[in-house]
Amino acid sequence: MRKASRLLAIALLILGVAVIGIGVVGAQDDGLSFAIVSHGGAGNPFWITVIKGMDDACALLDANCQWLADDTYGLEAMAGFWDDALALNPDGIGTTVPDPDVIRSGVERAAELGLPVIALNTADPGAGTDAALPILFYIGANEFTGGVSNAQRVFAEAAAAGASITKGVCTVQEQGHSGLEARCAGVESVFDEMGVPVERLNITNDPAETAGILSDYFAANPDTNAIFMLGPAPSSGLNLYLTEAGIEPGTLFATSHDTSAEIYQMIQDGALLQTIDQQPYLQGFETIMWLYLNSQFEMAPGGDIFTGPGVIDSGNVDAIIDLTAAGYR
Amino acid sequence: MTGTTAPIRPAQPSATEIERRLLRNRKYITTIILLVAAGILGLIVAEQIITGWLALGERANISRRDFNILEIAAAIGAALWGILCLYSASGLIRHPSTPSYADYLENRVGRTSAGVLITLAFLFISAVLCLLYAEQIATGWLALGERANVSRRDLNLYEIIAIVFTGIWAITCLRTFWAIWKRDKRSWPWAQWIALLTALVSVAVVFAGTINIRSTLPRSGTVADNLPAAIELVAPGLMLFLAATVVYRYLTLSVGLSADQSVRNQLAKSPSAGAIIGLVTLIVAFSIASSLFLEPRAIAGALSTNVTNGIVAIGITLLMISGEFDLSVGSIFGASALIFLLALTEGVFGLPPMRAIPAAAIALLFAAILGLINGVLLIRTGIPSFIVTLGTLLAYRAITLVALPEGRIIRYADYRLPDPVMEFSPYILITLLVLVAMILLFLAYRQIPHLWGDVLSRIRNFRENESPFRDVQLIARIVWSAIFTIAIVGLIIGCVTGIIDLLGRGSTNIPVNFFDIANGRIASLPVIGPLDASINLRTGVIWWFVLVVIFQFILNHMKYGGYTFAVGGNPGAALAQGISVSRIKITNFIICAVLAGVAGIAFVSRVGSVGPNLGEGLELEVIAASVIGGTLLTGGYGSIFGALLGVLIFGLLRTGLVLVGMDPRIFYGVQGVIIIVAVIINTAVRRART
Repeated sequence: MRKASRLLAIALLILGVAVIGIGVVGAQDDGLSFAIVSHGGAGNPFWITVIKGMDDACALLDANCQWLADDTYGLEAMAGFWDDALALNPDGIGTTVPDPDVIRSGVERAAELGLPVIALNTADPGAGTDAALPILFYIGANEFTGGVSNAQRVFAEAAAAGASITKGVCTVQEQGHSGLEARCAGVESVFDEMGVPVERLNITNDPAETAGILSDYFAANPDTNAIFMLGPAPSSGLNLYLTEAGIEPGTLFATSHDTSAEIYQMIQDGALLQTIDQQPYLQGFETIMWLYLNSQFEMAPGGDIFTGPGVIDSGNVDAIIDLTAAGYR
Repeated sequence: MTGTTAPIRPAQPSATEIERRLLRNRKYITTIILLVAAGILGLIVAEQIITGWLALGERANISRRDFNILEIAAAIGAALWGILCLYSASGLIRHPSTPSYADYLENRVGRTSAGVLITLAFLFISAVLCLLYAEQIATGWLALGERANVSRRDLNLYEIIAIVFTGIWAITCLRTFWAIWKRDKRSWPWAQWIALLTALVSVAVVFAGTINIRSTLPRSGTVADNLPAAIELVAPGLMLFLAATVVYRYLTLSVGLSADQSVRNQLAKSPSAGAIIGLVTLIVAFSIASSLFLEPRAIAGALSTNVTNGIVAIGITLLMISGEFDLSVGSIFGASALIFLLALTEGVFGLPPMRAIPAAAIALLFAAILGLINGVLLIRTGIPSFIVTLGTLLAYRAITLVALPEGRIIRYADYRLPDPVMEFSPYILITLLVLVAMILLFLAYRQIPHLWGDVLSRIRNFRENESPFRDVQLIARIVWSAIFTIAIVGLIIGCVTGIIDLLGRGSTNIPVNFFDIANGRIASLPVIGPLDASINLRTGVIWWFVLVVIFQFILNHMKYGGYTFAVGGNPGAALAQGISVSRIKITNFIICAVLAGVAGIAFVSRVGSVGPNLGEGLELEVIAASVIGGTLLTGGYGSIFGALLGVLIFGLLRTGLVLVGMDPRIFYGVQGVIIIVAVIINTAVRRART
């Protein structure tokens, strides 16, 4: 018995080495190669679309591309993935920048090697200052203007319906995430301008828990009639709350960020006015394209490239649903 | 060096020397500090009540004219209390060797001895304040002279409950006061209980006051801007707390009384004493801080939200009692929810889409296999469960990550299928109901005569019973017997009417929506009637409570439960007694995983969607809930009921913090503090037992 298990362990070891070996050999191609380091991966529907953009671009260029990230959410792990990216000896690297200090040493080494680095999805918060990372430019949505767009839509819809916004709430599902904070800051800038109070509420990524928190929140704050959700799972929680509390669409002015089947359905039902799409496919596709253009021909755009905010509302949601099924949205 | 040296005997210390040493003793110093603080606070509260909580410097000496009787009594009580405390402190400094409570009971000191006087004053003031409080609720908080005897007619349920409770409390205080006056030994545990509960309630009052300080502040103000409001909200509670602590300290100074009468020993009988104390404090605090907290919609919402956590916590507690724990429950929860949803819609493992019950069975079987892998890995390798299940936590997570098409959130609604409806022949249901009714009848036959016989014998032997709690025990037994009898009779009647109803319907099949049964909204309750639309109470709550009762019964009344305790407490001894340690542990891993699967099914039935990260972080939340409920991480000790309380503490805490509008960012901070405090109380209480 013991002998058998030992044999099994050795067999597994050999198998592992073989698999890694095949992978390494497969990667050693003479063509172009690029890597993208991110704080999220295949566990999250959002990143799947970005990865598809990357894969499509790489297929066009006939390049080898690697997506290096924790499957779900890993900020600290990015430092290690940057080491891996440099070890792959690529022609260029794309990276998200949720925390510049985690990846600073990696980015600086890339700059020493003369590799082009492009920020995607989340911009370097220190850009333009002394603490800026040596990065070419940023490809992604502007989170702040996304929040502004949502808040302006809410005020416009309320005015059109002859109602007025008395109080707003911006829900945050991941505490301390700079992108989410920027979305709320955009909302707050519009509310401050209009002189309407707005507050933040911490929720979770679990729809049932979020529904419970929302139910408590609206019991304590019955005068709130505008709510801003920042992602698919929170919107799912809002939908659950609206269904279970029997609230008619139109009484609560709600918007969201990002996309999911449920968000589209909520827009069709009228439960959400609009959602902000940052066009994740573009983020993966353009990052690879610009890494290619820069590494081969030293080309660069005049500044950051904004892939959002792109607005999805009842006017274009049906077309978007088809594109989502194809994996482009 | 040889030679004998006689041990030098220290000279017998003089009486003043003993007193001086006592004075340096830490216990005495803290007592004196407590007394002085309680005294000063009492005087401040009295002064503030009279001047109307004015800000500092705002003509503080003007006295008000619109007192109601409660305010006058409170002011007089607080002033008296302050003077008494300061007097006792000075007495303690002059004569440190204060006689203990046992000295008083054995007639060695008179009633004017400081500690006795303070205890008597505490009880009397509490009783008077409680009676006046009840009276004021009933008459509507009128100022003096305003026809104070007119009683209101628009009392709501909570006001009536408050009146009843304060009335009972006042009577208890007065009864204890009388017993102390008569030097009755039974007064000792009673006075301790009263002091302890008063301390708890006052902690809750202080907590509520602290929460509400923020709401009294102007938008950009600080606490310093509004000091009097802050004092008004916190000082009375703090004074009450100090008063209760002083009395409790004095009462526990005496060592001559029987140990099993002490409060700590009574509390040590339950593993979840800390959780009970925490839950009571939390409920009192939040119901003072927010009038929305005790509303049915908030309570129902908190219960429904925590169904999944609650069910998973049952399994993890059972496993922890047997000395292991399972970090992979979150992943198992997510995976079995996914399997259930896929089995309903697309089919899994090459099987076609199926009906609800086979789908649930497949999901549970799948969960059981994951649990079996955990258990076998642990037993075969001997690696600590922390490492094994940390590995499977990650490995099982891959199931949802890989299996979900493109990692998207899949939803039942996207398949455009009708809700899974099960059709039952009425005869199957009738057979089931008859079976349930027979089990209930058997239970009634076995238990009811036994319970009421016990009550009767207690009434007959009431005079001979020496226990200080004989009256409480008798009342508790009567109430429990009555509830049990009514519940059993009610259930039997329900079964019989159900059978009659079904018989009347003929033989057409009866459709039942599986989602509604598993975790649907309860539209109406038997006695209360239809529930308001805002009340979101789910059937999952019933399953949760039923599972708690079943597993608590298994743990405490069946052989398997005894084995579980033995395996967790001392595996060597368990093995020596012929208990198969590995079999028990593997079985508990399987039970734990299956319960995580049950929670997954309940989740899908309510939410109808599964995302790849469903259940992340669940494991630590439920382990924390079990620990708060009194379960030891090292095994061998704990209770399922405690886990229920632990989950409720977390759920109500979140609800309460949202309702009072506190920044939920501090939620984790408060949660952490509660875990530590609850464990400290649990350990302190348990020490009394050993």
